[in-house]
Amino acid sequence: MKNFIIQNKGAALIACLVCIVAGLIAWGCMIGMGLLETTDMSNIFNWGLLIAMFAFLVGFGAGCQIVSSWIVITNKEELMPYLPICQAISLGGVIGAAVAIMADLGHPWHILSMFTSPNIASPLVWDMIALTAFIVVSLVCLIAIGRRWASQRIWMWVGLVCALVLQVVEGMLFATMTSRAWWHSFIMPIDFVIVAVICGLTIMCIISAASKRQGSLEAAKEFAKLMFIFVIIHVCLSLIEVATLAFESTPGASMALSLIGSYVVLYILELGLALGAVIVLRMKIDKATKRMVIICASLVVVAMFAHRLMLLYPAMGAGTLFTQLSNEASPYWLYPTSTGFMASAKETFALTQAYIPSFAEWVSLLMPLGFAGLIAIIGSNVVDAWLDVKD
Amino acid sequence: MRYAMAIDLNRCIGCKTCAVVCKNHNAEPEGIWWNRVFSSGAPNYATSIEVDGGPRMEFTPVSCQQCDDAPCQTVCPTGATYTDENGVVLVDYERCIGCRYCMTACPYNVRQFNWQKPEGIPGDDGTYTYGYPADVRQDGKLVYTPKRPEGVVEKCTFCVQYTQDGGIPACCADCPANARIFGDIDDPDSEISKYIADKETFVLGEEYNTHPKVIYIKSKRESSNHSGSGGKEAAKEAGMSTSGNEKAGA
Repeated sequence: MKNFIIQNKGAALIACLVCIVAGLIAWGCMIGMGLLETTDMSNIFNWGLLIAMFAFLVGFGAGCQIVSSWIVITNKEELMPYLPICQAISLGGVIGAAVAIMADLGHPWHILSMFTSPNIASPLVWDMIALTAFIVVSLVCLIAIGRRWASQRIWMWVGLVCALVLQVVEGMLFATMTSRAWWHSFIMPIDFVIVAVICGLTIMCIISAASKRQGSLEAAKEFAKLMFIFVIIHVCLSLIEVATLAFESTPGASMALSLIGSYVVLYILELGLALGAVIVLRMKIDKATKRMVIICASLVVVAMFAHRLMLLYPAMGAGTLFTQLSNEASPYWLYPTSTGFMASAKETFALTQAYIPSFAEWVSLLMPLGFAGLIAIIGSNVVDAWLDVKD
Repeated sequence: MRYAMAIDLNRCIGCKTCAVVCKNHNAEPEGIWWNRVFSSGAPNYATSIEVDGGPRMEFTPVSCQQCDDAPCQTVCPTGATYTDENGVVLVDYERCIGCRYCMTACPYNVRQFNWQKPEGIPGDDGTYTYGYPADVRQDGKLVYTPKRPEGVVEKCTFCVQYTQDGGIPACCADCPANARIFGDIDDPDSEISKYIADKETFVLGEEYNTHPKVIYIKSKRESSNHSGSGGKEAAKEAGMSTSGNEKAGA
């Protein structure tokens, strides 16, 4: 089976390596010069772009595994040629996500503590277990595809379960935070699964549409039809979440809602862009060209990144401690937090923060992205080589 | 034994001495404040609000609430955050990986991150350092050090460097209004237990079910254009009851 997906692998590999090096330099600057100097994070907004990228990439990883498993389990013959790259992206996405979260640690040199003395009650430990298990299973699935194991179908079932568990755990990572009104919702883990499926379908939509293989447009349209359904579900869940928040009527929930208002452009980008793109694509699906499919699916990718950013803004920006007079009814007042800043133009104590990621933060994202791409290209290349030999 | 702290809002005058001595005794790096004092219910820092036609001001000091069910401890992936035998929630600096999950989980926003390498304050003749000068370890865990490692989370320890030797936290020792009372909440004869026994108390963020061991005593102050007995009673009580707090063991 010839690889027809990525036309110029050499250039793609070099691009990934350049991304990794650029990201490493930015990360080195952040660590060496201090996060306060090089990022816009503070004690208020203590999770930034790398966390958003972590959630973004893990969605693609789990999503591609779900799509791969679906292709094998339902025996979708017409989509089989896309299986190796889909499975390789699954592995690459999650490894990229692991790189993102490692880069976000303040003291990564203590990471051994996570293995020597893990706190099993922590959702972050659940995440580490789920992530590690997923990487192993995803790799086994990739080998099973390349070597055409007889047990391939079983492994794809295992992969599907691992992907679902991973996304539920990712959702729980946020949903268990009782102090954050924007996250503390049972919808969160469900939506994480849905968003992962969207991500998996979207990237496969783009890849199949971009390939020169015969019948690739039809394959892309099949992915696009499913993408439409899952985006609709995501939008519905998001709106239910906002409605639930509106009825909560706590100071924290009210502030989260007002922050959604402040970041309404980003929110419209998340929901409106995704919805608009899939509706247009669905309505024109019969006459859709490859170019149209790629553009619409790319817009959904942008919307999913906006979604990961919106995961942070209303949660980190909204306060959690509100005080009022102890012996009299009075307005609730958000209690100021020590930001960690000293001198410069920034406040030492503040109520909230408008986080604007720095240039170094944006560049640092290239490191996990580069790793994800590198693993995906190498993985698909190896599998294609195995399949070529067998053919 | 469970150490706890009562903060009497009748007595607190908002001078922020507790915040300053806390920073000084605990070598808190630039920009980091374990202890904050702001006025409640007001739309801006340190301003009064109008109640019954008159201005009212009430100060609420906030530091780590030393929760019995600490969400920061639950979410800490490495067990760096733990509760010691005295019920005090501490951080082992040598085990913290700086994931900041605890900061996200804490509803009181009292956890602080060392965003950059902490440096001493430059003085006339070189670098001026401050704070309790020695490392403090508990069963091998580094729970206090004047030389903070970069990229780890820190917070109030109830001045573990003093309380481990029978002293009291610096904020309690140095409060000019004796608004802070420290002791063993499980001992009915302790100063704190006796102090809060007949008083109306509350805890911050009760809705989060964290069961804090920092207990606030409701203010009896009234608006300044009132001459009700509540204000006088509070003043009288604050003036009368000034004994008891030992000095910090530094």
